[in-house]
Amino acid sequence: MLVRAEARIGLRGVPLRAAVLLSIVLGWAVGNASGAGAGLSALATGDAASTYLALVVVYWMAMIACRDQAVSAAAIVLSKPQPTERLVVSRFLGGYLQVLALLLTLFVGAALSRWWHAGTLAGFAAYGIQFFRAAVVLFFAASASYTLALLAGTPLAGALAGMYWLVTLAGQDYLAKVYYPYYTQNLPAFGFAGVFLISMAALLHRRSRRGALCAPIGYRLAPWLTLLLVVMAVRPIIVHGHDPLMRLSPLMEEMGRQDASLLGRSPGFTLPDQHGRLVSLSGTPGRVFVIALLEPRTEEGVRLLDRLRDLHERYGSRGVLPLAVCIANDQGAARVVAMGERLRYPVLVDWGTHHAPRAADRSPIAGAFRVSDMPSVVVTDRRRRIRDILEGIGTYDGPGLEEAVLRRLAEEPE
Amino acid sequence: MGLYETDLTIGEGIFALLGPNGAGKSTLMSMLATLLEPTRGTARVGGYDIRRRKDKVREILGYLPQDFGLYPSLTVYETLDYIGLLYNQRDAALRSQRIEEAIARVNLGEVRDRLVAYLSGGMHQRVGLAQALINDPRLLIVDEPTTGLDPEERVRVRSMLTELGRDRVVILSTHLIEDVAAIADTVAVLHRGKIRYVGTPSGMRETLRGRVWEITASGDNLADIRRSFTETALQRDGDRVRIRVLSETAPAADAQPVEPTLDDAYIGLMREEAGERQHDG
Repeated sequence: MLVRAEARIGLRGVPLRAAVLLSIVLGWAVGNASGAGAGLSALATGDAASTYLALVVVYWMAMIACRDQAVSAAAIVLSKPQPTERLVVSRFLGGYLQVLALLLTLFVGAALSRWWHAGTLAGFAAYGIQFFRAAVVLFFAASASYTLALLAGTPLAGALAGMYWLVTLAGQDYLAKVYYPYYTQNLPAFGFAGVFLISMAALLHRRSRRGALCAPIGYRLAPWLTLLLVVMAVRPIIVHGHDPLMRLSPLMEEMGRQDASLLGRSPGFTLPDQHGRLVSLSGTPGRVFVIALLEPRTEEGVRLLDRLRDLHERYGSRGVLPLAVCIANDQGAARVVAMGERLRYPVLVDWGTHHAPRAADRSPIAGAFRVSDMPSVVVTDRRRRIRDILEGIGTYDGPGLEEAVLRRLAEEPE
Repeated sequence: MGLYETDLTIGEGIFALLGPNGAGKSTLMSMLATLLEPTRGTARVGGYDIRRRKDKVREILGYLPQDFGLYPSLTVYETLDYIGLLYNQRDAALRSQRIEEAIARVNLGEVRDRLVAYLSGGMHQRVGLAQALINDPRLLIVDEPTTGLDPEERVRVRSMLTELGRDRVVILSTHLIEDVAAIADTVAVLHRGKIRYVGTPSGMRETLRGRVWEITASGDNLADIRRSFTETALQRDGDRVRIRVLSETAPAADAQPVEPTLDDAYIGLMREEAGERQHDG
């Protein structure tokens, strides 16, 4: 009940209404993305939420943390018997509900834009995944800003969370992937970190207000438990991940040591698909593979994915199997785009992707395939030998790709 | 302003804390309201220690601070509903009943659905009083509740406090002597963190009986009188001026002894304290 009352205080205010309006406009602007489905639109909307909206949230939650000082209501509120920790958590949750309202309007704006411009909302479920992802990211942004502002007693302290965000936006060349709250693989760690921060705020804020009483046991245990969960979530990212700025994975290094050449055997790989199942070339022998390495956040990448879907629908029964390898730092992008574009063929997550200026350097697998321009497509024969290599516009535009597949089928019908 | 150790027992009725700005009134109020921790000593409210059982004190306390704000985006009713939740009143029906009672008590029925942002100063103060009544407190602390109000609103607030003081302890902090004269059962004069007087307002007046004089002065001797005696009031009367002064003996041949007022007594106390300090120095 207190959470609802806290939310109402902000939801009624003019600033939030203005922010909602801006949020719809932003959603409308980013939601109009190309593609047969809503995949790219959903990705763009989630990214806008995790970057631009996060900065708004940092400001918003810092103001909520210091609201009583701003309106001189602290004496009234603090003279009431409501326990401090409950007040801290309720106020945060009330503020977070306002954040979710903003997020929802952003996605509504994006979906409306998509429907208006493309005339369809096919793959709408992708918005759901992105909404959830952005909600966790904003939860962390909100908790960091709120906690800092609350404990320091000034909204300026909340700006430190905003600084972190700006550093992650600007520092892709020197920050390891694990520092990015908006990568799907990091969501559990940053989600738990958010809970950790809030539990610390609840425990430490105005401790003397409790008098001789102690905080309830749950509040005292929460920081330790959530800190443990943060460690448990971060450890596998570091130990099993691949990032030259943090730690190299021997498995990924092994995959990267292969070398693709025309008429040579295609480099092999084992990567998870959009459903989490491991997919490898050796696991499906005797197929004509259309291996596409692409960036799912680009228009070219999505157009190629749609192209591969057409090929799969038309020639899949004759042994053609497209394999889209998503070169993206965010390991959740493959799933979103696969759901948004309603793809039934394997869309693989290249978890070895990292920041690098050149396409071939972005992932060991891209290096193995000697990718110089994204997107890049390799067509193999049924014995896994590379027969055609296409790069850039030729992959998703013009007849080149389909002709290459038809050539394979003509030479090797079965 | 700090507060020296003070022994004080406050019973039912309206207890007024009188003193100039910076005397320590708000400090004492904040301590009793559990907002400020005393560095030494303690106090008990309803039997609960304000240092150790702050939670219990807050349950029986209603507090109206001197300068307070409310959330401008909420209506009067919603504000009180929020305060009810802060009092841990989870039963919506009971909370609603308490809110309606408080609204009726401070006469805010007409504006119950108006946003707090659009209330006048007097109404804002009444909402402040209503929020302090939501839990039907045994102790009501009101800090300078009439400051800044127009005369009509001031009378209204005093009436409410008189009504409330019938069945609970009301501690009223003020620097307006007319507040004390109008409604206080007991008064304590606080200056520089020390209690200078505790007793009834009439007893405070009695401390100066026989020592208050009124002199009718012309412009020529007015300056001499003001320099020689402690002046407590001055009133123009045509070309002449009637001036009240404190003196052990008749200050002039035409001086008339008059009934002491609370103003006289208050100024007398302040002057005595200043004299003591000068003497100590």
